Amino acid sequence: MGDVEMNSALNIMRRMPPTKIELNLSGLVNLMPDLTDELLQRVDQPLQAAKDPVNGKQYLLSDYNRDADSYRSPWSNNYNPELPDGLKPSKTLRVLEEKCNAVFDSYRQLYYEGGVSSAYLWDQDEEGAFAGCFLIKKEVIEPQRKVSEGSWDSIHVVDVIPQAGAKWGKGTFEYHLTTTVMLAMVTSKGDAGDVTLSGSLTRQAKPKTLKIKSEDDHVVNIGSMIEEMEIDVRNQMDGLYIQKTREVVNSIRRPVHASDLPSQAFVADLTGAIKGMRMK
Amino acid sequence: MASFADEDEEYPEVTDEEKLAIASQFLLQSPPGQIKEVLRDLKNLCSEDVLAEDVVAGVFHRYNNATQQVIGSIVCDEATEIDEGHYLDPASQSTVHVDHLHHKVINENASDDVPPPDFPEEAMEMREAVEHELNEYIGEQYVKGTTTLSVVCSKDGYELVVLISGEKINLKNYWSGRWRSRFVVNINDCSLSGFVKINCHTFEDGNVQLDTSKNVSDIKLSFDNSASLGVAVRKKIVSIESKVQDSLEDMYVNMSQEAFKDMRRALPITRQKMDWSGAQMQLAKGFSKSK
Repeated sequence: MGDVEMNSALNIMRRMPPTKIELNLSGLVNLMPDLTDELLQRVDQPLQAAKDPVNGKQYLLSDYNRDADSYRSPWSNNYNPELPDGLKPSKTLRVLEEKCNAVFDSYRQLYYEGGVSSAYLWDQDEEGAFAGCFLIKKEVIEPQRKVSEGSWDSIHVVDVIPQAGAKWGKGTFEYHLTTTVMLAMVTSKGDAGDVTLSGSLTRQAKPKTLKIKSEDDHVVNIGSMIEEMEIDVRNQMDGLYIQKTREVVNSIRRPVHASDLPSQAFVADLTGAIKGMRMK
Repeated sequence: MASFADEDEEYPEVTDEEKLAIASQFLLQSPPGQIKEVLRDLKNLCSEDVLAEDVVAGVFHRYNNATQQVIGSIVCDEATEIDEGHYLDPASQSTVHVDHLHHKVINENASDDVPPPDFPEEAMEMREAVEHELNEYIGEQYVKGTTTLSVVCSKDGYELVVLISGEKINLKNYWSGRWRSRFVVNINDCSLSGFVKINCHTFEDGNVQLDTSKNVSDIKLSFDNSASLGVAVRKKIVSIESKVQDSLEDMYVNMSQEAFKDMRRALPITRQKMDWSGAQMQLAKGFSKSK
């Protein structure tokens, strides 16, 4: 019974404007209070940022770094508001988490030239296994060249599963990655008036099996997988989905570009010329 | 079971009235051609008491008017509406009886049941001239079979309302789109105001939407008779609509180079992918230095 309802709830979300995820998700929660936890888990929402009071650095909030009503900062490892017994990664995993955050931060600077990133890891039962969540949020608020206002949210969830004989930081591991990208671009500069392009795409990468020599290789393997995935999703968003909306508009009303379309007279001339050539 | 009790406290059950308000919001936000699908899914989330047929029909009525839905020969709008189920087809000056919930015509000539309103002869003449010009324009510019025009007089005869409703729905291939324009021609002021709105949805393994809204107001028209009014209205509408579409075309062309780059670059400024091992090694050095 829960499945039918959950499917319907997700179907509805797939049709609602991607700019109103929070509002519509709270509507669904009100309709289906019993499914609250599952809905909050299954429907990705735009990320919120907070400031770590210890070092003033921004970090991102998600279900993955939340315990009760507090969120753990990846920079100081502290919960805000303070939570003495808040869940934290084991010491070994925390070392890896710090490295992930530092390297992922350079990745963010290279591609986003701004924004906030956070990586959170958590322990799994099996030896050497762990999971993680890598988040990026970029907001364009100042009126830049084309986008008057916009946001990009990446949510990458990674599962690292040790294969036979693997130990912490050594052996063969299988990497699973699920990515959701949420995008919104608003502009009101052109003759089209207020234009909003928004979207959300979720993709699963083909699992990769890789051998590592040290735990640092995890950072490289996860990082490259995320990079590939983001390039892919960005291409699809731009080249496939957004261009498709263009086709749809133009399948209702024909666009006219005086410079693109040869004039009727020119076409007639051309036809005449071709006919003339055939006659000879 | 104690934890369940806690959850109930945190998320109190909402009343049926509140549920209906939420369900209505979902229905009214439906992308082109998908309100039936949204209703079908809502029925799995709400009891029949909440989504009673007459109440849902009322929400569909609102949706149809708000999005200028075409049912048979009529375009739903407050300007064409005579009463909840009856609309004016101005081209034939007859009343059409429609079923909002099932999106169909009940009676295409219900003029005997609900007589169409009377308009001054002069207003009717102007209406026809505008309709004639715009029909020609729509035939030229819009893809055949997608778009319906309705030009209707306001009750006092001082305004003409122009409704252009275009829709293309292809849910099997996961896309749908709507173009609608609504202009009010004020005869006394010799002016035109209104909007062009576009919604597109592509949703194969995702959800991407385009939503545009262009408002124009108080655009001056010069004319001295019905025929020249028709020409003047056409000229202004062609100009407004073409600018909207040209501007969108520009946006699409520039998107990859410009707008997307503001969000996320396709590649770093070096045009090379990230050197993860290098970054990792540098980090290790930094770590050892600081120790």
